Amino acid sequence: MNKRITIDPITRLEGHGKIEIFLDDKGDVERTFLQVP
Amino acid sequence: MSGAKPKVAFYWCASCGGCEEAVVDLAEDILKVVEAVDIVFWPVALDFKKKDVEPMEDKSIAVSFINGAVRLSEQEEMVKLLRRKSQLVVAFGACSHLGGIPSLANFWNKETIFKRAYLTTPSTDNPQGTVPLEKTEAEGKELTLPRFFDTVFALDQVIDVDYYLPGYAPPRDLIMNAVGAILEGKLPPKGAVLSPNKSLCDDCERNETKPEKLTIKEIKRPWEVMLDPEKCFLAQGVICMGPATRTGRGERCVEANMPCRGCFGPTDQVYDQGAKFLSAFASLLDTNDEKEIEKIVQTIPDPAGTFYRFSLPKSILARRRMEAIK
Repeated sequence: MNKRITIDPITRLEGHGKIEIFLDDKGDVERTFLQVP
Repeated sequence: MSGAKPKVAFYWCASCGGCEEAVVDLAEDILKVVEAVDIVFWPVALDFKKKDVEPMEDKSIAVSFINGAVRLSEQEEMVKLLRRKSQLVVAFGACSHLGGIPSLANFWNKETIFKRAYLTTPSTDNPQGTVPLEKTEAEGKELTLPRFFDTVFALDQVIDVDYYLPGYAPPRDLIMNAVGAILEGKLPPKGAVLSPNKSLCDDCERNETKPEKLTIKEIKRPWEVMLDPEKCFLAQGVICMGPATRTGRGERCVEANMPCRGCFGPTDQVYDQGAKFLSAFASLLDTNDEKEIEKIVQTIPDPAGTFYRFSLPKSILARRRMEAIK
């Protein structure tokens, strides 16, 4: 099953920004997005 | 053991990060703070997230120090959550106290800001005209961002605030005094600004050289003149917000030969800092000739941004009426 991991906020980047990690069926990283609100 | 210590949270909204630096600038004093309290939330430094705050009991945090203005839905949600969880909320720094520099955006709105920032600046390369969206799809994945408000708010325009620590950023002495007062329960009445209630001029060593009347014919910016390190800035034709600004900065700016920009906001007696300054400034002009006055006033660059640099949302103006410029 596809899974999504959200890290929000990213403490190690001064507490700004979030990372969305999308995993594929095998649990490998398929695509990652960094957003800075 | 640590369960007995009061819990403290830090949060930031629309800010530059200087207020976080101010906490770090406590240097070894931060150890005294950490010895006395448990920091349960501090996004810039600790890994606790919103989901760690949500299950906390209401009022279980002794005090939340919140800096920055409120301009995103995420910030609104977080400050409302922290309000619910906290016994005390302290607006930390000029931007949460009065709106601060981010709130100068209230001379515009979301549409005009996005257009300028993402489309029309000379350095922008954005052929698809992309602007931030609350919901967007990239490669089949749905992504979200917080909502961007048309208007930037001071903290007490969004939640109830108990105390205000003024400054851009608050100076170390005032922070330590505030922390001490909270820990010892020796707090002034709710709503107090935690800095002496008198104007900067009252404490300024240059005050004696402040003239009854200005004889200058034009206003200069600090970089345009060699400033006398002992003479009142206004007497030198440079705007200094001292007459309309609360003291407590330790006169750090004035000692460094820089005029006051007004970051401490007005004293308790004044609602509108910009109007208060204009009133003081007008009475200093040494002419009754309207054309002469207009000529002098014309030499002030960006008057709205100068007089309301830190306090626009907490002024009579509050914001620009956008329909008036369409």
